[in-house]
Amino acid sequence: MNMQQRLSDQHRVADADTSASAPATQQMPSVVLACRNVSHSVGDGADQLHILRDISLELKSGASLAITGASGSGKTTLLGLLAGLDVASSGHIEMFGQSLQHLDEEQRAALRRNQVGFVFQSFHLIPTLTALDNVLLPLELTAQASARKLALDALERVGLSARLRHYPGKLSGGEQQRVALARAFAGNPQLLFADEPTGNLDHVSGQRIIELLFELNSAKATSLVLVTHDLQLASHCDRHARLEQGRLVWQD
Amino acid sequence: MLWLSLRQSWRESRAGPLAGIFWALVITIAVLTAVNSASDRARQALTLAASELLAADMVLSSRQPLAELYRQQAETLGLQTAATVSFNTVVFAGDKSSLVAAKAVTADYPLRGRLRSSAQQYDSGDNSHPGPGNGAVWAEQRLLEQLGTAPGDLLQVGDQQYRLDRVLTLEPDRSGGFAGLSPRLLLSMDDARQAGLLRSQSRATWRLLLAGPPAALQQLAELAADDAEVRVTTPQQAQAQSADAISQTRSFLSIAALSAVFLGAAGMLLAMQQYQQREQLNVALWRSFGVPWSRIRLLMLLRLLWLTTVAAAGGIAIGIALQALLSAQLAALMQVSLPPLRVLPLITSFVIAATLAAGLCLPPLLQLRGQSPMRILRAAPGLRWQQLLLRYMPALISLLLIAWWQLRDWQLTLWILLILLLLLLAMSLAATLLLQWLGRRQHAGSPVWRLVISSLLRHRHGNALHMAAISLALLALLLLGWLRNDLLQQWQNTLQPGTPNHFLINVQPTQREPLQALLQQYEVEKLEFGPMAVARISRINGVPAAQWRPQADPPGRRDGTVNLSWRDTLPETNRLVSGEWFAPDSDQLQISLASDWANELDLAPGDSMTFSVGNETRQGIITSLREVDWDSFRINFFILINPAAASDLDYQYVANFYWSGSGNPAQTAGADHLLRAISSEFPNITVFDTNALVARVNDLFQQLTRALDSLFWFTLAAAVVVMLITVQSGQQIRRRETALLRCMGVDRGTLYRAWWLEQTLIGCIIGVLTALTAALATWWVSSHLLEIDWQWQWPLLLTALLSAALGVPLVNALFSRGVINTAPMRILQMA
Repeated sequence: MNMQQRLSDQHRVADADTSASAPATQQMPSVVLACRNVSHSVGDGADQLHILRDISLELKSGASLAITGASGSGKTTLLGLLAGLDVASSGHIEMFGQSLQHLDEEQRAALRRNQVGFVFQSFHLIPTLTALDNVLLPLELTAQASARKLALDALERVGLSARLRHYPGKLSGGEQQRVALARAFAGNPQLLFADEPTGNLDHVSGQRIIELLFELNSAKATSLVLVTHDLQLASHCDRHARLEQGRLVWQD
Repeated sequence: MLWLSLRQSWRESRAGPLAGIFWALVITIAVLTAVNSASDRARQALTLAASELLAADMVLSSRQPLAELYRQQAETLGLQTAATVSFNTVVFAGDKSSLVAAKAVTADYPLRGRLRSSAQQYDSGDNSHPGPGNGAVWAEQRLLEQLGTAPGDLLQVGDQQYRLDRVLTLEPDRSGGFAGLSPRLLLSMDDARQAGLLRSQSRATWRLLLAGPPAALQQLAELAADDAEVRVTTPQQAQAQSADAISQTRSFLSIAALSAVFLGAAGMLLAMQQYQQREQLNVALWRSFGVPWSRIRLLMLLRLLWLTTVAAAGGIAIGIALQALLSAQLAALMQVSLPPLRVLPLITSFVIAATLAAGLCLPPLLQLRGQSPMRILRAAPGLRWQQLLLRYMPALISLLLIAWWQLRDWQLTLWILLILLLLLLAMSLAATLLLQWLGRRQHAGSPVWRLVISSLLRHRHGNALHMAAISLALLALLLLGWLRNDLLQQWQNTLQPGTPNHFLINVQPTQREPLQALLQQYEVEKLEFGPMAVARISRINGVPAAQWRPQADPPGRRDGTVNLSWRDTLPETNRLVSGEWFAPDSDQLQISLASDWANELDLAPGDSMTFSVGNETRQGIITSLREVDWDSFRINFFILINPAAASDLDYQYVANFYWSGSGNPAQTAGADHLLRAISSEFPNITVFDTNALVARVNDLFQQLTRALDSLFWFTLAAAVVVMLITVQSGQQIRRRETALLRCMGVDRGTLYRAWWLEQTLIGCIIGVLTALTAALATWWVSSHLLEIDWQWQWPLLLTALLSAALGVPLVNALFSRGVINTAPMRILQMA
């Protein structure tokens, strides 16, 4: 099982099989996400703010990585850059062997399609859609075959078969995040980004979500990037790095 | 994708901002369809009413018998036809004779409107009888007086004798001018032929009356256009009393429909703002899942298409039901059967729905393209002004396009643009100044005051849009209410009780004083005399009159003679539109023309005219143009000259007065007495009783007033609904804040006071600025579109101010009354 594979640390990052020119083939490369010397800043001149400095990391297929740090340390920014939601000021990021720097927004979206899942702190469910529809809609939008079956299966996995027709407003926080988990895993993504998935939940619900997250992660052999300030949650991951003053400090 | 978008639209339209847009569109289209359809039907009915004044939808007239071709062609085209021939002749009764204006008519005359007649003298009669049958004639009362005959007597016309069957009291196509006309004698076409009356008439006018579909009329008009002998007259061209009132009502109806659109647009703008904010998040979400933009755009476009289609269809269906109610009321009021509902207003509604959706909803949705998926992880920066411009410009353009479509007048549309921009500018300026002023005082004052200021500062962008939307709705209502009042005032002024109902002609200068004495015995009111001389226009600007603008055909041109009158002062019902009134000390001939008459001949102050009076000619300069209120039933002349230049002219007087005894059954004997007294003491004087005409115009005004009122109240009701949606939208954030403040221990009383103060402040700003804008807007519409007098309407302004200052907090209170009293936890959970 890939779960046991370990990430190389930043000094051993230059593995031969992560060359930027490697094409995305049918066979998934063993390194799904790689990031070399990434820096990111906002504003310019005197107002320039350096958020990230010289970040390098690598995530192999099926592995999990936790990024922790204080509020405002740049965790979410790093997550956005790794997921290709934004472009880094400098450095190099590769997802599934494709260099993100050379892709425009539309091409990056195409790269994420059906391969990347997200779980957010504030769930981001659409209030006017039922639990089932919330899971179904992204599948339909990305033209997944047998979308309905995938959505029903995913909701069954997170134990919400009985609440398919409920609207988010009628679900508890824990239940809403379970719908979000179902949405994230329904398309069988290769890579999952989770941003403080338990940040808005009480301890018991949070615990249940963590169990579910890792259960699904393991069952579907998904690689996971988890941003959290919860050290206990971070300890579930294969690797753990802490952001301090914009730099990654490995904790293992 | 089609199915997906359908399902999504269905899911989303049940709640949330999409539902707000949906219902705002439904209400707008419902009101628009109802107003446009009902006013389209009323308009057709009004055209019919105007047709009554012509007795047809179109008339072909000629000095020679009309070619048979026209009648045949009209019948081929499926038009109704009737024919009349008007000519002067002499009738005899015993040893007395009189010149009459005879009119021979076919059995179908009139095609529009009805003849009024009575079997008795001095009676206003009814419209139960069609025209005179063979062997019978109808005559006006004054012919009976001149001949000393009564209904049932025999009259000699040409070489035949006819029984005087009934007294003619009103013919629909009787022209407005009275002076110089002989009494009317109506007889059948067959009798006129038999009596040989039509053979020898060199000065007869032959008319073919036509009624039927506009397209067929148009074809016939085109056929007649090449015939120099034939003149085509339509109701619009007919010099009809109340023509102004009808066109004013049309303009008002257009403005009412337009107001409905602006009301709906205000609601849609607000709902769209919320919807766009939510979609921002959704689009960021889809983008993070890797959904291509083309797919997102297609989905949004399809959703908008479904929303528009269903809302338009629903709105049109509700509109049809509403217009049925409205039309039924109009039909009852107007005592006519309205023409059937047409498809055109329904198609218009659909096109307007599409334009509104495209202009108001599409740009904000398409702007989502630039949405960074990072938005899903953190808040995005606000819109830059270029983006705001891109968002609201198409909204403005689509509203202007709709305004143009409704009004068909670019100038007016641009004025609307100007007024809207002015309102927005004033609103943002006032808001900025207020916020600056408040910002400096944020840390002073009571806790309530500090709460108010911080809330105003925090919500300035949301408030700005809210205020603009509410102002827009209020402006639409104020405009409608103001114009309604102005219009009604104007109509009431036109036909006040005591409008002159008798006209006298042929009064010799020596008869003036004894006649005045006689009339005073009968307590007549508003007696007015005017001198009148007959002249011929021989030259205009040095050119022989017949060659000056030969196509123009103002009254008097065909006969070659015109009536002149003179006076020192401008008549009460006239208004100087250009030039100067007569210089008092000059003997030089100065001329003042009625502006409509002058315009037809392309004349302006400074031009010269030469009149032939008797054997001499006189040249004068046009010094002024007057706008004449022809609806006033007062003595009015196309041509006035200065008294000094008229001192040696032969003249007689015309006069008018109001006498309440006539036409009133209780005083019939008295009426008989006065009119008989005049005709026996002054046999040369002719009296016209215009009671029936005054009553008919009065009736028309009342019907128009009611039609106008129904539509006004109807639009008002719709406006209230849209205002409720507008005011209560965007309360979600407020509820959350209130709950937070409650959690932090701010007491209920402070919250209440702060909240009321803030809402009242907003209401006051809206009220003041909107009232001022409305004053400007109504002034412009009154003077340029409706051509009525504009009046400063304090009560309405005060109502607008109060309704904004009190209405905004009250409606807000209505929708959020639970907020302050509910447990904060529940609200926070809901949010």
